Order: sequence, then structure tokens, then C-alpha cells
Amino acid sequence: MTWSVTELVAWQSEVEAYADRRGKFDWLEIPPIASATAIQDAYHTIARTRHPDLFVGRIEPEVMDRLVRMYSRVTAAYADLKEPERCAAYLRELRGPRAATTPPPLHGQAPLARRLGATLPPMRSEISSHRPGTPATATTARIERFAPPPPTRPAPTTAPPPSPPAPVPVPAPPPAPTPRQVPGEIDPAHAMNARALAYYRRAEGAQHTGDRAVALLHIKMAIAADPRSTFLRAALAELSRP
Amino acid sequence: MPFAVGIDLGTTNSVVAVATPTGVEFALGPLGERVHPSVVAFPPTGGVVVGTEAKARRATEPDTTVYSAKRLIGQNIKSPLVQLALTGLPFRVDEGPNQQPIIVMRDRRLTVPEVSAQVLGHLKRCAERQLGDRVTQAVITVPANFSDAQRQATKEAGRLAGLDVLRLINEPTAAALAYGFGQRKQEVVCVFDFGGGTFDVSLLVIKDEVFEVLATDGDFFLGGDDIDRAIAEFLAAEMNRHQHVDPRADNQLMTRLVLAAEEIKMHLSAASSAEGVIDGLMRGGQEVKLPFRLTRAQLEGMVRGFVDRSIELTRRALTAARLDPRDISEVVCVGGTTRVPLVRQRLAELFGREPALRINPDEVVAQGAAIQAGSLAGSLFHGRGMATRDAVPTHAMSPLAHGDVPWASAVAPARPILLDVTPAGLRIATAGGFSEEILERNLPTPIERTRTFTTARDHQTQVVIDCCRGESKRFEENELLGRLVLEGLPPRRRGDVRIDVTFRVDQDGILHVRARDADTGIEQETALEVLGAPVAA
Repeated sequence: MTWSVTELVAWQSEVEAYADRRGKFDWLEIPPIASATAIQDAYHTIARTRHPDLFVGRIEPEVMDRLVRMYSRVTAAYADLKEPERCAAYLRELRGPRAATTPPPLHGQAPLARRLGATLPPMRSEISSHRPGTPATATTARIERFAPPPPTRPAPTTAPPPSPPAPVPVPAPPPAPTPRQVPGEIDPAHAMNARALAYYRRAEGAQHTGDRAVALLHIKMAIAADPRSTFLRAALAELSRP
Repeated sequence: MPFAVGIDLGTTNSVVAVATPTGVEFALGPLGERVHPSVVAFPPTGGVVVGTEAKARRATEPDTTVYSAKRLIGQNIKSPLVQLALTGLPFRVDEGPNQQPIIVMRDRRLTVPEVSAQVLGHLKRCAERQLGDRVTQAVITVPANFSDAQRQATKEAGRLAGLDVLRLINEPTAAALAYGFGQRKQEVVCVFDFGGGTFDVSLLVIKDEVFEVLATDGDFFLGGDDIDRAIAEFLAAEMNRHQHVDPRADNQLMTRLVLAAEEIKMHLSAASSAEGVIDGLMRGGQEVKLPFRLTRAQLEGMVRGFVDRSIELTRRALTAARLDPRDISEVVCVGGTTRVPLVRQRLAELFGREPALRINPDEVVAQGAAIQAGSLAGSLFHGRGMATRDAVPTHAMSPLAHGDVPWASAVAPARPILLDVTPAGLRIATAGGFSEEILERNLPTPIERTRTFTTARDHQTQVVIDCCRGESKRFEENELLGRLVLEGLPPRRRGDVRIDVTFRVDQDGILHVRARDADTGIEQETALEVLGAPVAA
């Protein structure tokens, strides 16, 4: 069950290269589905194969450090997905407003989109440090120990912060959070129009059965249907690579 | 070959064990005891005495005998709970550098890790004597709700005792490991750890070799010591009433009463009433005798509040784990206080089943630590005797010392996996006296999470990041952990500088904080300067 050091090192170099672009489901190595059992099983499988404890005394401290970091990212993804509400919110975010009309992505064992997701420029961002619905956006919380508290907020009575040398204006209301371009899983449904998507799905299916020529054909048809999709162009480039 | 041992460093008692292919073996003390009191005495003749012998000195030399050091380790002496704990201690505790408590023993000033290192050193010597070889590595258990500073201080104590601390693991998790290792279990268990000084409850799902904690809760100042203290207060009142003597002002008398209270408590776990005379009470050079009579019902009246609190925390953990009491297939009792009949009765009421009886609440934590130590050292095998019920009776001389343990017959080493959680929310201070949570409680560890913040003032070139632990939005209501300063920021308008703050909790449950200016890449990964923790020399 436990991985060999060779397998571990291969995995490390693979995930480290795209660590910031991996979505939560990528970290757990499962297709995006909201099944609590599947999510827990996926995490347990990863724990059983490459939990840092399994490698104590088997790898160099530097490799261990890197392993702990990468494993911590897996755990962070699990922490979010194991809460049903958060998982549902994340899936909605991935699927976007069109989720109702378009079927959920048909991820196979090695879906093209996920493989490409790692190599493509981001099409839409997955906001990693900010979840919708939580008050803390990337720009509202402030670290500042010397400015006075804004008068509109109740000041703590026990230990008020030291008064500043000169009155400082009340901080302006936070600017609208600019979506940070943190790439993640790319849902093909957002990267092209519906007609192109139909072709893309067929290409995915063909790719899955190993029929590269058919996959190429369908990708080209998809491009014809949606010539502006960079996602499809990258997919074509990936597929045409010998 | 050097051994890796598991150590349960308790508030009142400690246990040390080692995993062998034939079972977990406990290291005995000089008097053949499996449970070693966590007491360190500094006799007038010089030197240091630890364990059973030191406990015997508590009654006669209360001001030079340190006990319950675990309640002080890694604590900020200014914290109100610590101040409260100090009022009951007969020995002197001063404030040292970095707000850490310093224990004063005659002419010696000791940090708390130095005292705990004496206990660990004693355990190490016991194990070495029995195993006939050096003990260099150890897994030490800590209460699940231990904070960062407490964990660091415990590691420091291990280092001072000459041990390479392979890992700190949480006590309830260790107990679950001892309960489930090698049994191919698929169940959800509740570990109810009511020890001498601390109370912890953890809910775990066990799937064969994977032990995943779903939620944990606890109270750092709730334990058998509190029950002893309540009984001692009752005895003191009795003494005051009958003999017109107030023993509360007298260290030696009060210590004697607390020790008697502990015995009365234990007696009342088996019998319905306790009656007798406490002797050896010295007052003004004369011996005073105190007759007493206490029934179990009276005792239960005294301890009901403590037990209610533990049950309430258990309910809270169940809610956090989204579990119903009926989902729990076994209740694992840990710690001597779980022997109190009222505790068992309330647990049975809550879960609708009697707690598991075949588990020894004093030894199960050390057993789990031993299994984890063996796992991390690569010397753990699926032996026959690893399960709790089969814990082998120990001989004065270990079979390991004779080399007749069948190491060779074992196959691939076993590596159970412990997946623990954060015991409390971890937050940073933001403008206006508020705090922003970066890691919530009950998150799986090891974990790393980054949040982006910004400056609140124009041309600000440095930010101070105060880190705290707790669940309150108001910064002051949380427990301050330490601070990190990020300097050399480009002077820009407020809100234009973006700072990524990364919190990482490692497998020992220790927090690492990193702050990074997202644009310039200036980074500070200062180890958090933790208040109350030992200062590196």
C-alpha cells in the first residue's frame, strides 16, 4: 500500500510544479463529485500511500519538508471538501451559473480537461483563500496595529490601541474584491460555447478510448464552433504533440 | 539496538512503554511499579529524586517537591487560569523571561521544561534498565487541547532529557491507536480522557490502519486534581469545625489533606462510604488527628459540576463531528478519573452503552505512544500481543534484553496512520481590535492555508502580525500566541500592499507562520515567538 520512495519523489515533482494551479479535487485525485464517502476514501487512500509518517527515516530531511508541505495542501483541500455545505458551494463555484443547463462534467479516469488544467493558462479563477459567503475577503481584513479603530465599529473597552500621533482618516470602505487570478480546475463548460462543448466531450471520450485521430477531429470541430476558445487551442496543441 | 519508546507524560502519573513483536511492554520503576508519579523532589541533602520516592516526600517537604508541572508547562504565567492554579501550589513559582513560570527550589531556579525533563530522564533510565540498551528516541503524548507553546515546551523537555522526540501525539489519539491497532476495525469510537489535570474527548473513525480524528474538545484545567482539591476543602472545613484550626493557611497540612483526599476518592470508587482518621497532621509540633466520614453520595454532590462539564464538552464534540451518540460503537475510557462511578454512569446515559471495560485507563495512552514510536522507528510489526486486551504482564527483566524476541519472524513493518485535528481556531489580529480566523478548530493536520490581507494606513512599511488561539471575533478574548513582524514593505497607499499570511500546523500540532509581501516577494518565516515557551539559550 505504502508508496516506494521513487513513486513519492515522482509525485512530488509532479504536484510541486503546478501546486498553485491545482483545484481541491485535483489534490484529492478524484473527479468533482459531492460524495462524502468518496472524499473521505480519497483522503484515506492518499494518507495510506504517502502520509509523511510513512517515510520517517526513509527520506532526506529536505525531501520530508517538501512532502509535508505538499501533504498539507492535500489536507487543506480535504478540510474544505469534507464539510458538505462548503463542498456544495465549491462545486457551484466550479460549475458556475450554467450548471443547471449543462450536464456535470463527465470526468473519466484521466480526463483531458484535468490533464490540461495543469498546463493551461487560467480561464477562470478559483479563489483559493476566499470562500463566498465568508465575510473575510482578500481585501477587507486589515493588519494594522497603529491606526485607530474606525469610529463606526465598537472600540474594545478593555485595552484600546495606542492613539496615533496624528488623526488618521477612517479607512475607506474596502474596494470591491478584485478576483485574484488563482488558477485551478478548469471546467470545460466555461471555456467554450455549448456547441463546441458537445464536440469537446466526444473528443474526451475518444481520447479516453485511445482513439487519437477521432479526438483530434472532434477538437478541430470544437474549434470551428468556438474559434475564440484558448482552452480548445491549448487542448489541440496538447493532443497534436507527438 | 537503541529503542524508541512511547511516553505518557501525565499531570500526576507517567508511563513508559515499548512495542515488541510479542506485545507492548511497560518499563517498571525501581519498586516494580508500572505507573510513575510525575513528581520531582529536591531533598535538602542535594540531588534530585523522581517518581514514587519523590511522591513520598510531598507530605514532608511540600515546598521543595514539584508536582503537576504539566499544568505550568508552556504556560504564560500572566494567564488568569495559571494564576488560579498557582494559588493551590505549596512551592514557589516566579515570573521568568518571556513570561514563563520559573520554579524556585532552594537556590535553584528551574524552568518547567527542566522539571519535566527530570521526569522524562527518570522514565528513560527505567526503560534502559529494563531493556538493557540505550533509549534514544521517544514519542511523547500531550493533551489534545495543548497549545503551541505547551507543545514546544514539551519537546524541549524531551530534548533536555536526551531524547530525540520523534513525534508529539495527542493522548486520546494514542488511546484509540492502542484500542484499534491490528484489529482490522471499521468503527467510530469516542475516547473520553479524564486524567489528573486535563480533560479531552476525541471522536475517531477507525478504518483498519487509518485513525482519523473527526473532532476533539476539552478543558485544560479539569481533572482528578480538582476533585482532590474539592475533597480537601471539605476536610479542611471539617477540621476547622471540630478543632478550630484552619489548615488552608498551612502548606504542609493542606498537602497532607490533598493526599488523603486522593485516597478517599479512590476508595469511594469501589465502596459507598469512607470512614477513618487522618493522622500525621502536624501542627505546632503536635500531631493532630482528623476523623472523617464521607459517603459516595456526598462525593458525587461535590464532583457533579466537573462531570457535567465533561459531558457537555463531549456533546459539543459530537455536534462538531455531526454525529449522534448512537453512531458511536465504543467508548474508550482513559485516565484515572474515569474510574469514578458517576462518570461511568453519565457516559452510559449519554451513549446508551457501558464504556469498554477491558481497557486499562492508566496504561492505554502509553501503549498507543509505544506503537506509534515503533511505527516511526520502523520497528513495529503485527505482533500477536499488540491489542489492548493482550498487554503483556511485564517482568523485571525484559525478554528484549536477552535477545529472545522473534524480531526475525516478523514480516513487513506496520505503519498505522494517525490523522489528527487542530484543537482550537488560529487567528490573527486585524484593525479595530478584531481577529480573523485562518485555521478553524477541528481541521485535519498537517495543514497549510494562506489568506491575503492588506495594510490599513498609507505609507506603512511594516506590519505586526499578532497570532492568537480561540474562537472569538474580538482579539482580546483569545489566547495570545505570539507575534511576527514583516518589515521593508514598499510605502504605498493603504490597501495597495497585499500580504499573504500562511499558517501551517505540522504533525506535532505546532504552528508555523509565514508572511509574504505578494508583490515584492519579501518573506519572513520567523518561528513565532511564543509567550511562555522556553527561550533558546
